[in-house]
Amino acid sequence: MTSAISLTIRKYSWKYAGNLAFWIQRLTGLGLVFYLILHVHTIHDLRDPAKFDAALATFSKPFFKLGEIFLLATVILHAMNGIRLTMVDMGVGLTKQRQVFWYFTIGLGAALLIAGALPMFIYGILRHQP
Amino acid sequence: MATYQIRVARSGSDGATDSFTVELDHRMTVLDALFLIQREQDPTLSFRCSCRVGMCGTCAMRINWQPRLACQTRVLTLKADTIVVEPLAHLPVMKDLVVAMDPFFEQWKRVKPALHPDPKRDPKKLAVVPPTSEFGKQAQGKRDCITCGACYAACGIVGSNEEYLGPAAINKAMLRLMDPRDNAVDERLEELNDENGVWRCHTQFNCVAACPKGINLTDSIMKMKRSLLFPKKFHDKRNFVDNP
Ligand code: SF4
Ligand code: FES
Repeated sequence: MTSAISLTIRKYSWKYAGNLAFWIQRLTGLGLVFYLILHVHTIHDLRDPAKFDAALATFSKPFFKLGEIFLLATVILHAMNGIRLTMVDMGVGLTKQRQVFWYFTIGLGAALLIAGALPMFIYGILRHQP
Repeated sequence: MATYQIRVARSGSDGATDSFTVELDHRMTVLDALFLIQREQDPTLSFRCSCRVGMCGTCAMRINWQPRLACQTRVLTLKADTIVVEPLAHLPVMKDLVVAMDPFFEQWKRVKPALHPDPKRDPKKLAVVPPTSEFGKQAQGKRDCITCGACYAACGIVGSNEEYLGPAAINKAMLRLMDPRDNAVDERLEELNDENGVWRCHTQFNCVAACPKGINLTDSIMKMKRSLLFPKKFHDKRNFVDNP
């Protein structure tokens, strides 16, 4: 017997780039909302300067830097896909939707991620001084 | 000839598939495989087909996760020894691979798919629609729909909201709206300008990827969205045709 969940998931067209893009947009969006709430909450708690410095020291630890790289990836995916969707709404690239998704959203997005994450990785993680 | 494993979803089995081993020539289609199984292994297997040449749209089913026409899908092109065949998604299953198309055609009816000619026009006079005109250009490649339901079954929005018109109905509405002979413009526009009309589309493009006739349905939906946003432009375009 196949589970009801897998039967439902099977009904969605996972082989299509458009479907992938749709779910990427939803999941990264939810992730960013969650992050934003966490972010505002943390900042809100840091009105005392001593506490602020301590928190900043914690946040520059390699583990948090890794998290930041992950955050950057989420932001880039959401933004690039959002730009793609805006283009679709304006009637640009309607006949080349698969190429726009793979080359623009994923390809250019990956290039931006590498450009942004490399310095973060080198200075924040490899050469991190506690 | 090569050996293929065909796994067919059977109704009433909680999603379990029956596995059949068949010898197929690489030029044969999934529909051929189903016939072979029905003749030689399991006469109770149910599926639907009619023309077998990709023009009636009755044989649409999910083949290796994608809605396709079984009669137009050669086993070789699937590049797999195991082929999973399931009924179209988002439509009620009647038996095995046979689905009821009612939800699809209920939406289809909503957009008044037939021509509603202007009573003031002389029906004996043929309308001249030059291929270079807006309608002529739009109709190119958009009127080939065979109502197979592949786009409907591929659409994730249809899956979560059965009130949504669906791509094929919107494409049909667009063709009628662009047609200078037609008179039911406002009724159709009203049907499209609804939260379950064109505005429900989230431009997933699944319909475009699934359509066996290569119709760019998302393009039609986006055109209708823009026509609703800029009605003046739309009406200008509609009236350009030589209308004797
Ligand atoms: S638009 Fe394409 S996929 Fe949709 S019903 Fe018509 S032929 Fe089938
Ligand atoms: S049997 Fe007619 S389209 Fe496949």
